[in-house]
Amino acid sequence: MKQELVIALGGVGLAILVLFIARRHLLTLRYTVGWVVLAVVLTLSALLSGFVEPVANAVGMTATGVLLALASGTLLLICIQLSISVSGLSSQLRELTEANALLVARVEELAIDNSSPEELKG
Amino acid sequence: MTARDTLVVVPAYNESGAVGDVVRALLDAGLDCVVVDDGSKDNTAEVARSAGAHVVVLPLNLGVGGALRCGFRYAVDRGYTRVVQCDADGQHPPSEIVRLLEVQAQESAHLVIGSRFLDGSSDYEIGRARRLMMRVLSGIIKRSSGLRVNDTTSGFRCIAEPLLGEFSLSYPVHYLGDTFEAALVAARSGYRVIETPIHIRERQAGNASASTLAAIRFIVRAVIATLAGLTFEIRSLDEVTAT
Repeated sequence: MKQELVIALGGVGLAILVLFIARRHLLTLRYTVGWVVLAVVLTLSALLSGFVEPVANAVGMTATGVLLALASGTLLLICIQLSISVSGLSSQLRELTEANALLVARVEELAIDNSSPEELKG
Repeated sequence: MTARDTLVVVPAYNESGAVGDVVRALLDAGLDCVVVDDGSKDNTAEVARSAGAHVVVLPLNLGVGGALRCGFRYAVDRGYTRVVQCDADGQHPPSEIVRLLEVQAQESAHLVIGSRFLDGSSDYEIGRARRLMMRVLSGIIKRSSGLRVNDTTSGFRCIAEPLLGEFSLSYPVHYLGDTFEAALVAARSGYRVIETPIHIRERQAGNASASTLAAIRFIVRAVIATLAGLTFEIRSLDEVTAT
């Protein structure tokens, strides 16, 4: 029972930490929801470990082991999802950086083309 | 084709010591050039501009591939039909650029790779480990596209339309992506890729962009990417000519 309590407390701690970070605008709503759902599922699963027991027996693990395996699996999925997001953002950042550089170069060329001879002399 | 159809793209990162002389040499040879400052922390852009080059300044460091794609887009936007990639460290003399362009025109090639190792090129020395790895890369290109390339990591190349247009849309940013992978993808997509011997000089200033350890790491990555079919994609020559 102690193990389940520690896991449940860990879930509550995770939820509090995520909400604290989100309130400081360091985490967008999209990711906040994902992490809070994970924390809630972890907490409820720990408190209702009786329901996990049949599954644990079926796969030859303890209830705690099943909970931790589920949590690890979920974290793995979140990591993959974040990797996909970061890859997409890198690609978008590259596009924006190049477009911005080309735009600045074009504006500079137009500014030179539109400069009057007096301005160029001055 | 004439030199007016051609733009020399010079990606530069912290090359203020050499880029001015490179630009002046290119302009003296009658070549148009654009320096793509890849987020340098020194005054590379100012030095290049003072020397007379068009300059595109990337606000962030994207790597050679990113700087090159930006240069390709600059060229395509302005109607150039050929580009030559040229290092900003003074290794690629303008006379060799002209030779590269002549070979491209004679052979109607879409990609001409300047090789440091073919007969007739300069005596360019590399370590045993790196030579072995380049052989591995050559073998991979040969197996997957039938193309024979000795100098798989040469950054001295001429790219002509329609391949230039395709590379301006999609070009890898990671190390070796702009050399090994680009040659592989071009050959596999039906473009005419050839190799010609070149003479290069010692670096005039600056430092090499990758250590040997980094090169090994990226080569392993490139091998995995190729074997797993993770290379970047462009339209094939048949698709381009059909549209």
